[in-house]
Amino acid sequence: MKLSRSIAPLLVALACFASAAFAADHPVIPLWPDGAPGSAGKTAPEKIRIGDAGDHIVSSVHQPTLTVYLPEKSTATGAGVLVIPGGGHREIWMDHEGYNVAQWLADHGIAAFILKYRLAREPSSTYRVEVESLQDTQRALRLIHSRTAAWSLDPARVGVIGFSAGGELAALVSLRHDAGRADAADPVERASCRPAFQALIYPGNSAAIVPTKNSPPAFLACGSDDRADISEGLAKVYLLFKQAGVPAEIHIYAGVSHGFGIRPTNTGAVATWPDRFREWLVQEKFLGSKPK
Amino acid sequence: MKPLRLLPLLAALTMLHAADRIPPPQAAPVRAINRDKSGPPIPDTPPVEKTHPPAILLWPNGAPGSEARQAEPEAISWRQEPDLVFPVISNIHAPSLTPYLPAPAKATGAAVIIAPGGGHMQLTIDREGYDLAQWLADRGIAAFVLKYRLARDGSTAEGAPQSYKVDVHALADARRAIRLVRARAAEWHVRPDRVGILGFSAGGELAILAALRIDAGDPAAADPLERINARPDFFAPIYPGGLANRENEIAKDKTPPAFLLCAYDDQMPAALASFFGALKRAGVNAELHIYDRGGHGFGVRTDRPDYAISGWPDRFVGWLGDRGFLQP
Repeated sequence: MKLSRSIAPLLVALACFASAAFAADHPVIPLWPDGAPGSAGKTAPEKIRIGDAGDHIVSSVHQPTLTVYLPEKSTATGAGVLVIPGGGHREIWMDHEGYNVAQWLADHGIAAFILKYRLAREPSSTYRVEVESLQDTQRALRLIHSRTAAWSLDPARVGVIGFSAGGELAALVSLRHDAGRADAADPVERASCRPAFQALIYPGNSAAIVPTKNSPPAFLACGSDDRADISEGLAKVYLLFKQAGVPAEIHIYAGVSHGFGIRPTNTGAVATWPDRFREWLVQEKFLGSKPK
Repeated sequence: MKPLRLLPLLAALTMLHAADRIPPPQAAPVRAINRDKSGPPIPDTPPVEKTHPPAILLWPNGAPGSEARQAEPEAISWRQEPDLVFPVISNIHAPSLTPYLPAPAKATGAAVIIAPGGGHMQLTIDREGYDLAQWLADRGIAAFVLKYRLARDGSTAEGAPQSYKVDVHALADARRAIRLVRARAAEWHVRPDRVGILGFSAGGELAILAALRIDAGDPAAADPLERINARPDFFAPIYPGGLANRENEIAKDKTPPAFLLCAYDDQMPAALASFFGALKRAGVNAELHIYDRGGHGFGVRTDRPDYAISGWPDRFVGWLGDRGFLQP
């Protein structure tokens, strides 16, 4: 114990270095340059710890950001995806549900934007999932929509993918979105926050996912050995999409638990879920042609 | 004129089948329910069953309840759908298995009995039968196409007895098929604990029945085959019928692992998702794939590469691999 305490500052320094290395490769854009609403006076620095398998795990987020992964121009499809990692609203696991996903998407011609959002279930957090975390999610989509020309994106093909707690946010923004305020002074606030599609990967709080007939098409995936509210719950969510007449696809992988994301160590059928997602995007015509 | 021209062909087919005493299917006229004028034209020539390995009778002395009709030839006719015309088999009174065996060096030990669909009126024998069997055999998986008795066969002459029931005669055929594969497992390089059943549509209903209504065999049976356990080691209903009210028939530790698959634009995705939930609640290992496009009755199709669902056989083999059924 004493030893680990003594090397703690070193670990923090290493973590900062690793974080900086990631940031150097991909631009990080603050969502609210003048400070996020509801975060005034919150000056605690962001924390990052390194998990046993080398994962970057972020907490104490008060300045939400987007990390941008753009595809090579020659392979760009014109589609973009907001990527929302999970972590139980206590922290954010940046690798298998963030960086790895964004890199995979960019490698397949899809622009990806990783959302670092405010955490409602950190000890002593004043944030709420349906207020600040949702605001960050909405703001992220508005920001992407406000820059589609610069990023060569088709605004009709910008969607969202979320994992676990991030899946909860992806589902939430698919239910609660607006076209933007035309009279807003901030150009970002004039943009829409409606995702064109939603991919919910082992999403939390599945009971709150009640789609309407206007909900964006949905891609659903999880493991059959996940908690009942996610595995069985996602099958129920699928029924609701079907009942609402919203195009939906579901893949539940047998013998698989929570949190597979995209990892080089994934094996078996579940390791190919990103291919299923991409096939679905193709079929739903989200990767169809480049924007004019 | 036409029957005369067909004679040499029929003679050749008769010889092909002579070894296993199953008469070749006889060309039958296209029934009204099999016509869909929006589809491609029905060919002028009668359909011929594609070349396949010799079939094996499930009951060489006649299936129970079919003894009087076992010598009747099967019927083959065209079926026309909006984007396909294909042969279908009916008038089945001598249920059989057609084995597609992998090269012994490639054999994984896994065996899949394939029950084609066709609404219990007929069998879509190619893309829901022989084509998948060949595809699986190419991947080291022994496959057996099941011709089961048809409970709603409209090809039977009016007035002729048509007394088959899905959960009696067709189910008996499915169980017998599982027993037969286990009985000859060593000869076919199959492991008797890796014998499953995959069925399409009406055949999917049969797969569900075989998996839920387990017949462990009768140790006192005179016929040694009937002493063998007919519980499949896995079942794979693909866009199946017969999903209603199954929850009470699912039994933890008894119901085998399940692979479930269909398309959103079919009639059963809600029922299939509910069935998954029931399996999950009972603690039965299950995998569910519902693609957003594909319709009904696609089976194995290589002419629709733009449909993601066309890759579904890889999902099935991936699942078999994840369960350890393909390990040497």
